[in-house]
Amino acid sequence: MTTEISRRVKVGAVFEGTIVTPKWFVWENRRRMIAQVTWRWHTMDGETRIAHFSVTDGGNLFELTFNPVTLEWRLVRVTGG
Amino acid sequence: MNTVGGEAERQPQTCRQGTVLHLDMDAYFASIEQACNPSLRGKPVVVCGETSAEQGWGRTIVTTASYEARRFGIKTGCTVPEARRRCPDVAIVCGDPEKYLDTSRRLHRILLRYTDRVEVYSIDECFMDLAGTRRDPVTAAAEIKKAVRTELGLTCSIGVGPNKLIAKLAGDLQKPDGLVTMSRAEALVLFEDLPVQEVWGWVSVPPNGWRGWGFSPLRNWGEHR
Repeated sequence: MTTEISRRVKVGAVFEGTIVTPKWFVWENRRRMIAQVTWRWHTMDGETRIAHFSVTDGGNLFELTFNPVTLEWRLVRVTGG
Repeated sequence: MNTVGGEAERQPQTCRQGTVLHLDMDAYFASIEQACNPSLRGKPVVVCGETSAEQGWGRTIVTTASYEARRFGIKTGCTVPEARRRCPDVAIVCGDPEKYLDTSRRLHRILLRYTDRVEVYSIDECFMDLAGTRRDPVTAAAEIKKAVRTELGLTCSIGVGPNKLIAKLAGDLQKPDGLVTMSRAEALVLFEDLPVQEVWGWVSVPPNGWRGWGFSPLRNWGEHR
């Protein structure tokens, strides 16, 4: 089951050159360690290229987005495992 | 016709097979969703367009079925209730066109390393013409398949032929993860018995077939080309 969230979240990420890799995020007062980034893609919001990450903590599947202009991370949806 | 499987078979061949490649991603939307969600891997999955399961799937159409789902007879175009009837455990995923489009763009960037003569036929299908590139088409096709697997984590099927029709025909012969070459002569032999409606681009067949016309269109096409 997929639940739409669309909420700002705190994320720890590694920036290597032009590659951004989220490592953990906080949701429901819990720090979730990202076991795997399973897919990456981009969408355009006006002139801003939003990065999307499909990530798993080993149980659930999450979609995170990163806006490189506002530096805002959002948790878009959660799919229960 | 040459099904290219092992490394030895991937040695450069002459271009008598042609320089046109047809690439078709395998169960594209479903494969991306299986890559995204590890819990879906190896399981029957269908991708559809409906956004709310609460409203009931009704006549919602399956846009792509994973190969695991196809074993249950679930095909593109069948309704979600029909898919569930055929396989009660099938996972239903609402498609994300932006995700698929962005992945297509990444695929195109791989293909453009080989030639600028890339024709995007659909979101998951492309033609390429390697004429004038000095690349062996079969070797290039094997390299492209490898790049698609390592860089996108997906598989594709490629047909190699002297023109788009034959390349597509060849590519459709072995799916998923196929690489088939077909010469014009081999295509003509295949056309002898191939039902005309199975040929790409053939939009309609007379109501009673071609029998009353006294000829087989494909056979005639071969004779008079």
